[in-house]
Amino acid sequence: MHKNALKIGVVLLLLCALCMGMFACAPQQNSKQETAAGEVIFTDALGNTVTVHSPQRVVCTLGSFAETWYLAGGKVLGTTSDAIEDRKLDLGGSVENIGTVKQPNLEKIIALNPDFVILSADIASQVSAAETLKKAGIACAFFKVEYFQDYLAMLKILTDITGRADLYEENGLDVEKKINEIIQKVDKTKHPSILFLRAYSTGAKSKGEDNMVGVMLKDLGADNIAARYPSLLENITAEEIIKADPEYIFVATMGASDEKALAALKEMLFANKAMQALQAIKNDHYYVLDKELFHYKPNHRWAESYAFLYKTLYEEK
Amino acid sequence: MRSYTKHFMRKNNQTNTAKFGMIIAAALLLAGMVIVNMVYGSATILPSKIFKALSEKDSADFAYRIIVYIRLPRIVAAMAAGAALAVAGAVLQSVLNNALASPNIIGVNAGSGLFVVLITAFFPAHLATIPFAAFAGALAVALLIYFTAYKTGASRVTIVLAGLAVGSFFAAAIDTVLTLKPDVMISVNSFMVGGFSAVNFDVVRFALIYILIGLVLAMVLSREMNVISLGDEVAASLGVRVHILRFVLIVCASLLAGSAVSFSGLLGFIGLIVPHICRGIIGHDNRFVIPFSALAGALFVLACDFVARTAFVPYELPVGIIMSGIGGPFFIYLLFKQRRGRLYD
Amino acid sequence: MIELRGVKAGYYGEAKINDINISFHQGKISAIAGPNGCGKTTLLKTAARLLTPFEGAVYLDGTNIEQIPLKAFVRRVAVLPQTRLSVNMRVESLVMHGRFPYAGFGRKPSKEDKNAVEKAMALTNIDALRGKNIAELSGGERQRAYIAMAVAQDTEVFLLDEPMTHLDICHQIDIGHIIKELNREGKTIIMILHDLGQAMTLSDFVCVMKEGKILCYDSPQAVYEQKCLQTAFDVQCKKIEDENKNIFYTFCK
Repeated sequence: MHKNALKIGVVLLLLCALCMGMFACAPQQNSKQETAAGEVIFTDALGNTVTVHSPQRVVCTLGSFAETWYLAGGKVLGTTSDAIEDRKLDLGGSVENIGTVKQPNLEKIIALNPDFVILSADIASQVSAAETLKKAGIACAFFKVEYFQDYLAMLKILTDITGRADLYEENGLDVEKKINEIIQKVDKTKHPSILFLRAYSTGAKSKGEDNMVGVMLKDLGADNIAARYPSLLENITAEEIIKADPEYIFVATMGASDEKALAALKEMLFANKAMQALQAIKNDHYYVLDKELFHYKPNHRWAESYAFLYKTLYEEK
Repeated sequence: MRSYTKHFMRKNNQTNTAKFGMIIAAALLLAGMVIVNMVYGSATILPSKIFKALSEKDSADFAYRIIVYIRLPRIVAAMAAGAALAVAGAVLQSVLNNALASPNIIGVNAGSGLFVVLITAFFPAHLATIPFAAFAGALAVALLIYFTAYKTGASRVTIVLAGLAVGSFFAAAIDTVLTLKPDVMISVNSFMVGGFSAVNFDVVRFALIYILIGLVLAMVLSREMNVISLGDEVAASLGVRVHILRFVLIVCASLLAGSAVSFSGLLGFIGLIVPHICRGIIGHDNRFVIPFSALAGALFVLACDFVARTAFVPYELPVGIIMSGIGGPFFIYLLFKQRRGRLYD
Repeated sequence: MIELRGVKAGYYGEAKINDINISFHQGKISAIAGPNGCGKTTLLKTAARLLTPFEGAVYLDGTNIEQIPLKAFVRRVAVLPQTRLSVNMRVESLVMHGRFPYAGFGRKPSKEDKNAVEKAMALTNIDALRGKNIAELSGGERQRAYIAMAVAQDTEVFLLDEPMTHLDICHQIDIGHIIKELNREGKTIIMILHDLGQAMTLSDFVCVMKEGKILCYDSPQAVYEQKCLQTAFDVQCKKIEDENKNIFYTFCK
């Protein structure tokens, strides 16, 4: 009796795990197919099938998505405050501010009477906002962009919608070519050791390879000291940093961007005497990464990001 | 009389010699843990090498740099934070006669959190002032809470209520700033989780003075804390100036907690649970609970920090996770050891 | 002795007792009685320096108590309040707390302290319980322990707020004996009692209060003759004397 109950229990548990696994692994790739003229059907980042027909009134609830839509030849009706107030992106004209990325203002979005809303799959409030928008009969699509390939795939879908294959060429494939050229130039025998930090006001954490910047550095052959060991963790201890003594240190900031703030940050991060003896500090190989190229998704400027890193690692002395 | 546990009563019936013995044992354990922390890490540095490095003072030597600039400051910081927070919790639990009191109750989290958020969001050029602001914020809010309660007699209950009210107001203020400047969220989160990975020894040095003052004050007033546990009126009848004592002890607790928070972030758990664990071992007499809590707190945090930075070398986990992960089950074990009784009525 | 002159006192700005003038007799047992809410506890707390009066002052042997240093005052007046928190310590430790007003900066209790504690425990008959935890004691035993703490304080005056409440008749009689014993040693006892019979038979003087004022403060015989209790409580009172000259008082509506 005992043993049977146990077996049934284990089987049920496995079934549950399987089901949960299936739901968790939502298809990341957005695939699409074109049917009637102008109509585009595709699968978005959350697995929804979306149908759009030459949308003219488009709202984007993430600054970099608005930029991507603009780069695809579309007109942005409204987007979030990060694009308008913080980054002051050029989106080809006046654009309505529909609130913050974390809390987009649904009323404002609906008041704009859009026919297509582009949302971020990573933000919980946007996922739930979509429910209300769909009920109001507005087409919604979710995207998730972390790496260049994600951007390329998103640009493909958006240029299919706008019908501007030329812009896909210009803002997508050409950029990909440039990136590959840069990667080709890399001397395969060299592996400069680097440390990539994400800095906050109260400290910093080292980051490994599963983020946008980490991937770029990996593509360029850099040896990320936080990624040397297989682990789910990526925050290495100060001792390890001293032991590894990386040749280059890259810092992404979370807010500070003016001179004084950056100086204060550097002072705080490397106040420790042991840190000051690091070769990257002594040789002035300490770089604060430009937010536009390394914090927000660079989109069509992705090659510039690669170029900067390449220049820093291999061309500067 | 089932409602009081036999275990706790037995503890209170131990002789003073036994209690002194336990304090000595804790001190020895702490010393041992310090040595372990100095030897192990990303690289194992044997005690003979440590001694050599310290005596030669060659700043280019790898061992010297690791020991003096990385490990020693971290050890001191962990011990200081552990002792300070544990004693702050013990003092508050005693002076408010509330088993659930912790530094959080007098607004340490709210006050220091708000100041950290404000500076991060609006004065990013002055990041260096964050530790001092955290300290000042904790102290200021504690005073605010005390004086809010003062209007209604500053009794044990009104202080807790005032703490809740002020705390929720400050939490709302913090949320407001975070809504306006969402980028700040991540910085503030790392402060709220707490840890010693980015400890700056200058800050620790500054805070250490206040922590020592606070610890000494708490020990000096430990008999008064015993008397006040008999009730405000009984204490007054024995000549204790209850309101003044309560005020001084709250300032003492916020001094300790604010200092710790300034370099360690908001480490939870210690202030609430460590004093209880100590009372379970050494009884309720504050003359023993205070020093034992200081040692136990230091030992506990140091041990957890050791696990945090060596369990997954070269990676480290936030020490708060280790503390709750180890401390929580241990406390549950203590509760179960009481079997049918409850810890407190 | 303890004297209140023109005292007006209360809580949070509201006065509970008005224009109180009373001089408690030295070396005697005085009981304070009165209906609920008449201000008995307020009067006792004011006399004990637990409450500051709005008007008037309390005098100890002619000196205004506000002018006596707190430490000195506490060595002369001991209070047993009604409200106490549940405590987790040995009986011996509790009684030792009574020596707090005498303890110097150091931690070790002196020989004097130890003697006082022994004496107190002997008087209240809790010697055998000394190692037990307060929480383990019965109501009556606990009351005796707290009285022992007050006795260890070695004061001339004892103020007791309802020492008999919640105790069974045996314990009440025990406490009555302890009080009489203390009085025999020359201590002044002032206590609030609800049991009017106890008040009239245990004490040398009875203070009857009603609605914040003192109706009378006199020997039980005089109080009976002046019918103060009848006025205060609106009850009938009858005094009975038995063949052994024991006096009993009974009450009814």
